Amino acid sequence: MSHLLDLKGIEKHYELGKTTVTALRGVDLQVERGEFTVVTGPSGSGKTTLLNIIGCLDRASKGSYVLDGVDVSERDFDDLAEVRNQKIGFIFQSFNLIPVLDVAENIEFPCAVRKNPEDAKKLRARVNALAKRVGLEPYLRHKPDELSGGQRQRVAIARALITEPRLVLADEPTANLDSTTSEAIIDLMLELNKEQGVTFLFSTHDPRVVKHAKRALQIQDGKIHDGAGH
Amino acid sequence: MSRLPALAARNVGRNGRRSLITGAAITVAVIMVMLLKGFVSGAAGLMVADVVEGRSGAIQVHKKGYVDSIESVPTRLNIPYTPELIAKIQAVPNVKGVTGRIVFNGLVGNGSTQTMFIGRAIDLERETQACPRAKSTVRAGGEPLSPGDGAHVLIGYELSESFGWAVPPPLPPTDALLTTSAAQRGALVAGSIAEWQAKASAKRHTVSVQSTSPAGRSNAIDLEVKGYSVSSMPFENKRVLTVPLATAQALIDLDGRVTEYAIGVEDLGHLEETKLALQAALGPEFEVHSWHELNTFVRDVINRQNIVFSAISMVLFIIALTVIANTMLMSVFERVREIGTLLAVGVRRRQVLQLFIIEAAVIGLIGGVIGAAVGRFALFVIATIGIPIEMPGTSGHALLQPSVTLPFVIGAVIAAMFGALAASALPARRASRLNPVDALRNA
Repeated sequence: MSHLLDLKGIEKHYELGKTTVTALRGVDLQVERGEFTVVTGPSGSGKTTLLNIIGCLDRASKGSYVLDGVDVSERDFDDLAEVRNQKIGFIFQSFNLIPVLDVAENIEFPCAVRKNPEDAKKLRARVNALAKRVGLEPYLRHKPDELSGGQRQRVAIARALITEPRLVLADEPTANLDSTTSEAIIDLMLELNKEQGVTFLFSTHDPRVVKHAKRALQIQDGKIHDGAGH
Repeated sequence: MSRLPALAARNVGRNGRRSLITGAAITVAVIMVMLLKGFVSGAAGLMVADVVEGRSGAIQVHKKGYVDSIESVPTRLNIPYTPELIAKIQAVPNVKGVTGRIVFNGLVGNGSTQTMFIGRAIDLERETQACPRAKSTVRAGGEPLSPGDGAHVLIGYELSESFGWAVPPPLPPTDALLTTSAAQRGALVAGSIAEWQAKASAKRHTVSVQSTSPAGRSNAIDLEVKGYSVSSMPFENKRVLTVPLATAQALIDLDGRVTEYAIGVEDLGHLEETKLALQAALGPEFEVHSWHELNTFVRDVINRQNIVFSAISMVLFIIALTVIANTMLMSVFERVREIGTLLAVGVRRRQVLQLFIIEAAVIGLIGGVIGAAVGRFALFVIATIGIPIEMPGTSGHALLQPSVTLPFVIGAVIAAMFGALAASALPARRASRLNPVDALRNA
């Protein structure tokens, strides 16, 4: 069976005026289905750039990227939007919820904007089940500004999972949370990883996240070093 | 169903102050345009009513070729004035009343001064059937011609000045009329009229009117001046005499004949159909014209008013659109990271574009509807009270009642909505072209 992620010779260059800055220098990376992996590295090492390319938010300057058996290296913007919607869930450091939508609407949003959205009742049933699973059932009609940081991140996790993605990308998901809440969020993601077999890929500085990871990748100066997991 | 329209609607309420400013710009623009249009239409309506109901009638019938040589006042192109022809015209649907007239020219003098005139001879029994407000063209202080008059004449009030006669007194100042109650206004006008009538009745003037028949025979007649006519056309105030039809027929040997039929209609909205029906009923030896073909001056004034109205409306519209574009652009700048999130979860660029355009359309629709409602109400109140204005040709004073049609109101709302939509196109496109990586990085 093929890898979920298969990146070969990925390079990323930025033009800053007359200067070319290289963020990634020939990254080769394979991630299997169901992995719980972290990418660590100092600021400016290229981890966010790598996650952006893996998340189809950005395109590599060079190299090939196959996601779930589909080469996405040369896809156009709308195709990538569909790939993101169908195969990838995102969890952001600042939660990035839509302030005018309530919890239930935020969770269902990625499914609701599809070209052919599923039946509203079925979707709402899945939303309710997922909200119950992440401990948000009493807050379904609350707006994001009525929730704590941990609750908002739970909404973001539920939103990332509602599309039943192959991969969940989390960019510093515990950076804005206190230690107790961070532990709870990490535990929740580990449980979901085990229960649903969803692949999680994190970028983080948080040693608590690294401690739980099954695989840790170190990135430095645009090159990746595969480290030991737990 | 996509969640985008609901999201757009909620975003409108999310930043209430900005939406309020944008909506207010549209509302004010719509109100201004409606008021402006109401006043322009009201004024045009008064002018049309003055012409159609007070002077020319809605339609006129002449002998074929008359209008082409109208400048030379061709009395030789006369037509029979018979009950049969009147009945034939009267039988055409939408015709309300018919009268016959003679337009002629000649010299008028008061014994010491002589000048050229254009004469209008009217059938005093029938004139008000075609022109119900014909009497109102006599300035306060004089008397209109009435059935039974014979050797009488109305002369343009400026013509009377050229004879050195007493001029009717000025009416009370307009600002006095505007700031007083209806009862006080009536008293002011009545006071002026009574004052002048007392002076005028002391002495009735006589003029000598000289003209030539179609066959070339000259004739003259002395007529008593019964009143002073006023018109919105300066030329008519300086040169026009109005006499009973029989007097003109005797003066220029046109017994039983006229140079035109003036026709009043029930509904001006069906003028063209009525005109065609009349032409068909009367045959090719006659020609039929509507009021705007004959009164090009009035038509041109109304057209000029409409051009000015369009220009002002355009300026208001552009100002409103600029406000909308500016506030929408601010909205895009403030929501960059949110747009990044939308793009990250799979919203396509086209959907982001739709989101902002729907937001603008919602604001445009709400602003337009409120503007139309307020504008319509304001026009209703103003029209109910009425604005007295001094208007030559309408017995000195007329009541301006501004109004707009329902299609115009609907058009204004649609224009507001589509205008807002057009103004948001650039900001919406900017939002949709954002790079998700850059947008998500935005703090």
